[in-house]
Amino acid sequence: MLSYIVKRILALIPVLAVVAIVVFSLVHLTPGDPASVMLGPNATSDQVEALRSEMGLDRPLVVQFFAWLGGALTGDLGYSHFMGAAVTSVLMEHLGPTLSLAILAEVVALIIAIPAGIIAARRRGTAVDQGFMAFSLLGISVPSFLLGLFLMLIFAGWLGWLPVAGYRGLEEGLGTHLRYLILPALALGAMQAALTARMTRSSMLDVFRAGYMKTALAKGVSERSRVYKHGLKNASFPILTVVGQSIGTLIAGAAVVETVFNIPGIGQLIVNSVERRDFMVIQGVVLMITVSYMLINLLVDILYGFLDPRVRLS
Amino acid sequence: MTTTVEPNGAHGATDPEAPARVITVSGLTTRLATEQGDVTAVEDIDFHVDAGEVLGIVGESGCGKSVTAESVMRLLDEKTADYSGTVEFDGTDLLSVSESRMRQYRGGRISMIFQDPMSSLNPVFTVGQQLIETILIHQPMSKEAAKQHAIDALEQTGIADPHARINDYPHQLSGGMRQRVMIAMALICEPALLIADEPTTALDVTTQAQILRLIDDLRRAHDMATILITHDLGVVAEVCDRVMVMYLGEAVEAGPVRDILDNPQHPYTRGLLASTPGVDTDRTQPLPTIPGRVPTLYDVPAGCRFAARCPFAEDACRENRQQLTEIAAGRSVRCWKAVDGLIDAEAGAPNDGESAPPTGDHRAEGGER
Repeated sequence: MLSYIVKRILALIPVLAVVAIVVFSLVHLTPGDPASVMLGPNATSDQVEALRSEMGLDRPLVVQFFAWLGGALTGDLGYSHFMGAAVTSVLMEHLGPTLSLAILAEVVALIIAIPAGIIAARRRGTAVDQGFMAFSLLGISVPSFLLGLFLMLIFAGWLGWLPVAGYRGLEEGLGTHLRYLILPALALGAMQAALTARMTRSSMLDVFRAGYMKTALAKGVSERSRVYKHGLKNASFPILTVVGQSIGTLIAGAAVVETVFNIPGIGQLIVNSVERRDFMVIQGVVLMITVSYMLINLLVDILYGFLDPRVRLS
Repeated sequence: MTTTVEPNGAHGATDPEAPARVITVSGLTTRLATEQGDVTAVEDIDFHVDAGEVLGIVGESGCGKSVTAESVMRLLDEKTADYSGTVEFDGTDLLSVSESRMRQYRGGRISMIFQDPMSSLNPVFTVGQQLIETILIHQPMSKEAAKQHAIDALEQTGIADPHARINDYPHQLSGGMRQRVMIAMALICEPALLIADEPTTALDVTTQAQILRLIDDLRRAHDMATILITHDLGVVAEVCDRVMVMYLGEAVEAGPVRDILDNPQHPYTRGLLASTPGVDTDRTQPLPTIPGRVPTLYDVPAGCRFAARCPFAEDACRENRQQLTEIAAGRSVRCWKAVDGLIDAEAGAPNDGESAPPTGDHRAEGGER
């Protein structure tokens, strides 16, 4: 198991190298000189030159790359002139809300999707199954911002149960934190729940057809143990894959939902940074999202190893 | 003990010295709801098995032999399967007991071995976990005791180093080893009835013979009633006492193995035997085949189900449903022409025991040595 994990981690190194090069090139492939863009049309060429040398843009590309890479590896992603702060600290400040939102959305999605998928599979072809699947189609089709606005209208506007928008950190208490986060998490998690429910259903249906399920029945295993012990463990691999891959979508979706609910997360940071061409921040955000995506996939691979002996031992 | 009278002859049913009757199936009919409509997968099946006896059920794919076996244990999806008739076991009709009661029989008193050992073991649990689970369902005992029991059961099936194998996952074992594990799991609670559904079909030839011998040895050692489902007449010749031949959901012929192999009555059984290669088969000639195709269950002929492929068929066959008729003690056939002796006459009476191939010729490959 340990050698499997080490192998997985080593396999990340070349991917990380490619990611670093691509992210670094981002600044240099964008049309227009970052310094002159930052300073605006009225800047003099002396001012631009000064900023260029301050940002290190006048050095050879290779030198710039390694300087940036060295900084990135030690947690220094440069300085944002717009925000007047180090990119790393800006990222950290915005990471908390997004992380909370994404985790809550995923948890809500799994709590809804896995039981729904199992029930639909067990009652295949019945009205319950068709109802669940129709609902999940709705979940996939309705954009998260629209769902968010509806939820806001119903639960905050009409019923007045929850705050309309905004964000309260964990330091203000878990209850308050969740009260502000639950609507955006539902809006963001709906598509995730729909996808996961569909995958759970089809994966359970595949498993139900497997020979070992008939063996379990012939052994006298109870229906519950057959479904949840023999079935679900085998069905969990494709579900895990879908969840791992769609977390990327979740992060992208967060940008939209954060805007709707006015949450000061990474999503808002991206939107604002792109608007003002704050390349240092954009670079940092893209790097962070890519790396976290890779880490999630690493986690999924490791979970595979724990769940599936065939993966672990091959 | 049962008192049910059945058409296909209880040899020695009145003999007080006879071995105990383990299972009596009468009029078993299984209807399945499929997406293309309802079908009757098996119809009006009667058979019985005594302790220590092996009943072979033979037929082509789709003839209903597996459905018959799975109906006995009620393994088919309860939402789509509808059983009628009776399956009498331990003085109880298994088709009318509750599902939770049925679970106590499954794996405890009645066990089943499946065709494909590659898919019939759960890939995410160790061999030991799967064996221990079976024990603990039926016999409350400590985990340690169950583990020892599991090791003993593996040893009985001839698996080397069972202490180590018990921690293996199924994918670490060969096909033959996995089938041995399945056998160990089926026998671990010492069932009165073992159903083996094509237990050797997915294995290579040398392993086939070993597994078959293992099942036969364990059957003898535990005096188990055994139902062996196969399409291989060689296997039937080697291990079965009696045989039931099925075609399109019906039993077409039943009786003692030697009688049926030496003197088949139903035209289908004759065709099957003729198309089975033996040691003295002329290899330069193509093997005889049964012409035509098996009709589907959606399109069951009104008269005799085999008529369309039968060289002896006439209009009367195509019009009238055939009844399974007893022609000798413990011997029955579903063909009026065979009952009347017309087929022997038309076929030039080949079945005087002289020209019929001796049973040894139907032996499974590698059965000797």
